[in-house]
Amino acid sequence: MKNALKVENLRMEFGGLVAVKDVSFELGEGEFVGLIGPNGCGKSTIFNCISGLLDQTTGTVEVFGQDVSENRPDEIQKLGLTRTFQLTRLWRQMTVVENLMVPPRKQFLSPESEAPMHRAYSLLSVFAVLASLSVVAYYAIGNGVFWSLFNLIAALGLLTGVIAFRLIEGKSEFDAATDRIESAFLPPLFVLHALFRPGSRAAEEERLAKAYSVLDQLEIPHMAHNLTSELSGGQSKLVDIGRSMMGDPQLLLLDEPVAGVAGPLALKIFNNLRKIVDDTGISVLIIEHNMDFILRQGVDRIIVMKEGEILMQGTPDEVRGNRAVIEAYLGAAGEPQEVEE
Amino acid sequence: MLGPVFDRWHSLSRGQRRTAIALLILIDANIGLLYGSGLLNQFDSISGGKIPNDMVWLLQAIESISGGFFLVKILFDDVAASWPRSIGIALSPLFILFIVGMTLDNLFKGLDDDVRITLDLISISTSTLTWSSTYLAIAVGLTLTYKVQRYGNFAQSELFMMGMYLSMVMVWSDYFFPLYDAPRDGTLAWSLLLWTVLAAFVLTGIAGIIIDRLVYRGFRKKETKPQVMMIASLGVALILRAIVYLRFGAGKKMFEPDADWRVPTLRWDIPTHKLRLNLGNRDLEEGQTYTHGPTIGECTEIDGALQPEVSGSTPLFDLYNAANDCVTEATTGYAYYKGAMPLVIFSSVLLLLILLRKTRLGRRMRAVADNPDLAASSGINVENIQMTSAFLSAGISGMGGAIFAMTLRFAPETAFTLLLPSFAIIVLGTIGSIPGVLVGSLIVGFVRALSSPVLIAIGHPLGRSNYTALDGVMPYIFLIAILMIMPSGIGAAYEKWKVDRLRRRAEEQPSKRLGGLLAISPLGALGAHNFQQRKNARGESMMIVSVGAYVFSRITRFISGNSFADGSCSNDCQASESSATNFEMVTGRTEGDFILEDSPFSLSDVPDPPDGLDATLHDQWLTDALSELNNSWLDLMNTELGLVDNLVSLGDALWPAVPLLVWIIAAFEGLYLLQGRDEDALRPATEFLNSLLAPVMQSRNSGSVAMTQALGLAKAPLDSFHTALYDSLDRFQSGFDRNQKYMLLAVLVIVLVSELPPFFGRALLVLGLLWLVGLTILAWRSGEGPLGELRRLSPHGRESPIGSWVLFLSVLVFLLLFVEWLPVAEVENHDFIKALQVSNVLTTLAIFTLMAFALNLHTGVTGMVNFGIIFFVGVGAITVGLLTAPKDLHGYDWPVFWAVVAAVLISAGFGWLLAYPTARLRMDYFAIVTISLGEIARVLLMGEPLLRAGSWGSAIGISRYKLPLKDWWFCGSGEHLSEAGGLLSSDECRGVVGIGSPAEKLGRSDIPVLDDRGGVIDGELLYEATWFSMDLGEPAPYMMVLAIIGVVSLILIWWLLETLLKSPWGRILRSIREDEEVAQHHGHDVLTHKAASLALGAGIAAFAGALWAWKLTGFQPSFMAPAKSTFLVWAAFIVGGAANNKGMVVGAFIIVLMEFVFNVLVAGQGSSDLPLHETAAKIDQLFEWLVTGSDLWFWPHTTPIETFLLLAALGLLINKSAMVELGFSGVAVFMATYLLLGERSIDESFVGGSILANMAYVKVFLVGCLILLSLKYNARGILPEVPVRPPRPTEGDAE
Repeated sequence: MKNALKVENLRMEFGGLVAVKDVSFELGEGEFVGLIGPNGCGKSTIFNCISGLLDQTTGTVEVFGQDVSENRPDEIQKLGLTRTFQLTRLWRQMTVVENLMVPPRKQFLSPESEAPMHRAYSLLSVFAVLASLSVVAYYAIGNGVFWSLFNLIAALGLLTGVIAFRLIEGKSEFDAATDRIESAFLPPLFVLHALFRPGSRAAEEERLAKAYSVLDQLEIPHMAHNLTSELSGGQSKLVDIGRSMMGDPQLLLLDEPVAGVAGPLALKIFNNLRKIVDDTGISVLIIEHNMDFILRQGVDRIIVMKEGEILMQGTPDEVRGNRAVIEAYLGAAGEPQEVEE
Repeated sequence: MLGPVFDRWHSLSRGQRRTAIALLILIDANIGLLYGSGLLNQFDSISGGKIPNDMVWLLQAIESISGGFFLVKILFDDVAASWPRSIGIALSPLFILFIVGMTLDNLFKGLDDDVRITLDLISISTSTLTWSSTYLAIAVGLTLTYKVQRYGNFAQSELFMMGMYLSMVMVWSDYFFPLYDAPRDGTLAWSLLLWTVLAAFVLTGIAGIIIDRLVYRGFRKKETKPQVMMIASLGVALILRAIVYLRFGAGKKMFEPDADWRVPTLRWDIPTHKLRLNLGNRDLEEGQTYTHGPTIGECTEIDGALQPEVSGSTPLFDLYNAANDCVTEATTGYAYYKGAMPLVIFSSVLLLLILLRKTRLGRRMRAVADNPDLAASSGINVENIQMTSAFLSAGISGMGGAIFAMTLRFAPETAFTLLLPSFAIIVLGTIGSIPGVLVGSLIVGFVRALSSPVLIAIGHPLGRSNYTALDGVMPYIFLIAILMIMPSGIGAAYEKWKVDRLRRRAEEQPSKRLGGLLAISPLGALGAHNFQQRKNARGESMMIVSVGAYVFSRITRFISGNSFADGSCSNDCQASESSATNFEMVTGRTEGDFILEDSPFSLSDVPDPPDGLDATLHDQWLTDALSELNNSWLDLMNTELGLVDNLVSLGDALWPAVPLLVWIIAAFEGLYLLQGRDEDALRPATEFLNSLLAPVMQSRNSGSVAMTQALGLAKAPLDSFHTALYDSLDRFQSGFDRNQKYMLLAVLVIVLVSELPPFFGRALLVLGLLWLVGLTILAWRSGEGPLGELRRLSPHGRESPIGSWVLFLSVLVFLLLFVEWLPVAEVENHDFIKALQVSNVLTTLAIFTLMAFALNLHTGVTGMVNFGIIFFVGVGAITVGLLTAPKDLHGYDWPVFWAVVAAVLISAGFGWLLAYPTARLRMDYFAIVTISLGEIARVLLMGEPLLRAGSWGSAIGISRYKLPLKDWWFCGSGEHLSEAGGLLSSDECRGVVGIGSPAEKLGRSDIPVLDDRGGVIDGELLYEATWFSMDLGEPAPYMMVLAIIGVVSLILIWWLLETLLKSPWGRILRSIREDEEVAQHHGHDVLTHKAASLALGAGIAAFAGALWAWKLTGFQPSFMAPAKSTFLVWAAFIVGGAANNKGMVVGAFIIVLMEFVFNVLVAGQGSSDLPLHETAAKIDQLFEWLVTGSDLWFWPHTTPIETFLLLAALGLLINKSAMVELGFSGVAVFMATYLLLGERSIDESFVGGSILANMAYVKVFLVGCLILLSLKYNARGILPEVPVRPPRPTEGDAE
């Protein structure tokens, strides 16, 4: 099994406070792992280090085999990692459905499919450079002998531009590529894209349809047109989960995703997650305080933390039987108990 | 081949890579400066020497200094914490000074010129003190507001301004006037100064409370965002400034507490050292010599006082003592009145610091600052704390203003020039930290004090004598540099260092024996043992008490020495031989009291008696007036003496008794320490004090309980009245159904239409008709009835796309009708003037809307609070102007189109680059950086010759640039020759009839057909009729072309923006606005998106700038003043509705129309023939009523106080607390005004005593009100953002 995530000797200090003490663990592809521990034991800090929000003091983080220790969050996200925050952070003055549409979709494409767009856009930038050069040349050199030179450069620039546009227009992979642009590739070209390619409306419709289907799954399609600032806490959590699914992630880090969500729905979401992991082979690392879910709802493995260190790792049954864990954290929840329905 | 090099490069650490780059930059710049062979020079030679030489060395100088800052940044970022790093950081200011010096040296060497910069070290220190205390007075108020109320207060400088004017008012008061009017007597009078400072503190503080209650409390209740409060404070600032302008005029004034305060002899003479820097070419020619030391005339005669002369080359620098015997002139005088400012401000800030740190009030304030909700739930009355903080922050600024008024001549806008540096200071010192603000103000004061002589010295040899003006922007430049290095300011860095140090020190135990010995030694009085024992708070208290007592006694001694107290003798008195004391100088007696005969007044000091008195009465009047003057002088002097005596005895009582007492306590503590007893030596004393205070506290509490009960009793009848009132209102309302209500509304509208002046009546009629037609169509389309259908189409009202459009079009129709109605002054030639006016309105509208679009893109959509739109506008205007101005007038003679392209690209480039350094900055910091950029651009436009074109000599600004399509408009496509055979200019074409240009065709109905030279064809005059003529009687104005260009580009850019904002990119920008961290976690490169947004907005703003430049035909620095540009655009943005471009159009339209209406009003004020004369007269009357309480046209015999009382009473009746507060605040304000302001103030403020309102400031006042009211009652603007609500795709599309 390949590793989706590999954390090695991760250490995070804030001033003199050591929040995470040389933690190492791995997460295989298609694995569903719970991360538990008392409050303040460094779980969220680990998430922040992995996702690039914090720069760890020492140690390395690898996502799908690539060292991301010095990468920005958006670069890490492009490798397939999506995370949620413990305190739900939605874009509050935007509608629910718009929130869902922000994450770029289908961006974890193989490099080959990006090639034509790259070519087209590099040609376009050549055009831009040549055009501006020609203007500079004209005024720097003046109209005389070099007049013809200026014309030549301008003509060349125009030609490149035309070729680039033909490339964009003509390619059959265009729709796949549009999504690539919609992700964070060269934002200024959004101008060109928005102006010259209203045809990507099809892609937009597709994404909209997906957003609505996610809302259906989360049982809140009636809230689609509300601002997220109008949602209740539980509904916000749902939108957050939905939003993290919209980018088709390969590796999900969920920070207490169902805290505040009504019991039955939370259970359903948890089971859905399990199903998605089984169906699509994505990997999930989840922080959750509801021990019923963690211990009994099909998590593959549990990592227990205490005071910045890993206390133990193992299957739910192993964890449930471990005295140290019960003392440190589980208490009564470790004992057999019925799940509320 | 290059592969290994790259590999090696990438294997280096980040710090090493960056150091290499920084060194390369530094070396390149200095090679360029010295030998003219830097990269920029190479580029220049490739382009054929097109870059002006000045620009090359200027850029290289900037490059070199930035290289230095970059090195410091590397030290901060990339060097691991260690002692060399700490030392490096401590030395970095010196390093920066060194780099600046080196750059200047190399620059002048390269130019083969030399400059001598003489720095008077004492004078630099004293002006540092003056400047930093001035800034501190505002900055500390800002900090307090930031800390407790959590917003940046743009009105802080206006509170300072209130202090300045309060000092004026005190001088004008009948009580103090004799003192102010008395001739010089060589002795300072203190009462006016002391009372003014006190009054300024209290009254401005109360004003602060009133403003807080009327404005900010409402926002706090609604939990408004800090940005909104910041904009609200902008509105408050505009209103306050307008009021002061209206009441006191724009003239420069000064506060002199007594004629003697400005006597040149009353000063401290401080011996000084001077530092002379010899930069640039230091070679001396044959026979030339250089003398070390002072070069003032007679000094050379004295032996030993001077260093030997040198020849060959001058030394790099030369430090000399200017206080040797021969040159007494070389001491630096520090006038007493200048010293007052630092003394008062620094000590009051220290007092504030003590208040915050040591008292219960301070703890509560900090609790509220940390978390208002938590504080409220733990029993703190948050509103009271907010009020206290409003009082303190306003009071300190007002006090600073009052005392600042002594040092400089001031006008209302003087205070505003201090605001931005003060913002720089609080950013520098980390927002909200008072020690940080102290340090920050000293740094900024020093930068300003040092840069001033340096700029003066280097300005002349560089041909830039205007560079002296740049010292005002040095704080901004410095701020930006510091923020690049420390993105969260000095205070945060210091806190971090302190925490680390505390953590390290906590491990070791201090020695008790050493502590005990320290306590018993005299150092104990300064609390040294407590610092040694890590009890910093206690140590601070002791030190403050001891040092405070000493300082206070020094001050009182100084006061007594310069007053009429017994035996005191000021500088003047010491200089005079005849008298030994100040008292003797005035009275001629050695002792005794003042008597009436000592009064300095004579008949000539008495004002002229009223006309029409006969001779005897006339003389009688004069004698009476004189004796009145003398008597009040005597009263005043005796009070003054009493005041000074009391102060002195207080000072004597405190010193040395208080420090001795502290020492005794310290000694006890020391004994305890030595004995190892862990007790508080002060405990018995504090317990005793508390037991004394307990009954007082108790009675206070019971008093307040009784008060509440009494109030409750008084309120009972009022409450029952309210219940009855609301019941009957409810019954009235429920009596009608909805349709009846609409009917009633319609009737009301019809009544209004018949009563209103013609314009509004017509406008309402048109709107009503449109509305009716719309409703009918809707009713016809569906069976549900018109309102139901409308609701279905726009379920979210104006936040639905259709609702937004409907409202937008309605408002637009109204505003267009307004334009049509807008009267013009001229009666003859009416059509032409009207066409000109409409074109002017439309052009201005296009300019302001484009600016608002840019602001909206940055602030409304991307969430970057940008106060520097004017920077990009300025870049656009300047670039277009420079590039198209004629070559012989320092321009480049480009065609207009390419110049616009270049301007947009350059501005967009600036915008793009701005994103990188500001990426890590907080929202407020970004706001400050952008507003600073605007100011830097404005001042550079004043001082930098490279940014001048279009005139011979050194006239500031840019003019005579090309205007687009002007030739075509007036001369048509053909070439027209004059009588002499030369080509006609566009202005000449306008004067010739029959050219057949577009302007002529549009303006005239009949055009004679002429040949090229203006001759008649075939001897017969033919007329050509143009069917599209507007019949203006002369060629259409050029402004019409601009209006067309403006409106067309406005629509194009609008379409462009709408397309973009609808695309996924718009969505990403909005997500960045809401939470950029999350946007980044969802895969968007936030930095690049922000940069793109900044660049696009900057490009749009640059185009607006180009349009503006064409409209103005000459671009002056004053156009870039924030009050004339940035703030107006912000007003449009707020009124219109953030994140909605339709709102920008409407907001800009309203602001622009306001401008034009007031232009007409200004004209109308003067003459009764002009339109709107009556309106202007009514405004004047209203203003006079406010100032003097005279009669109003509809409101006779009621003064403003009575009116506001009525308002308060009415508010009580209908239970509207806002109205009650407004009423009582008005009563308070007008009571204070009538108490303080008498006849004299009217004579001093209004020329000839005729009270007229200056319409320009009435407009500012209204803009301020517009901002405030819009924020308060319609916080999201007229046309709020329309959230994206795409419907679910139909089944067929979505699989």
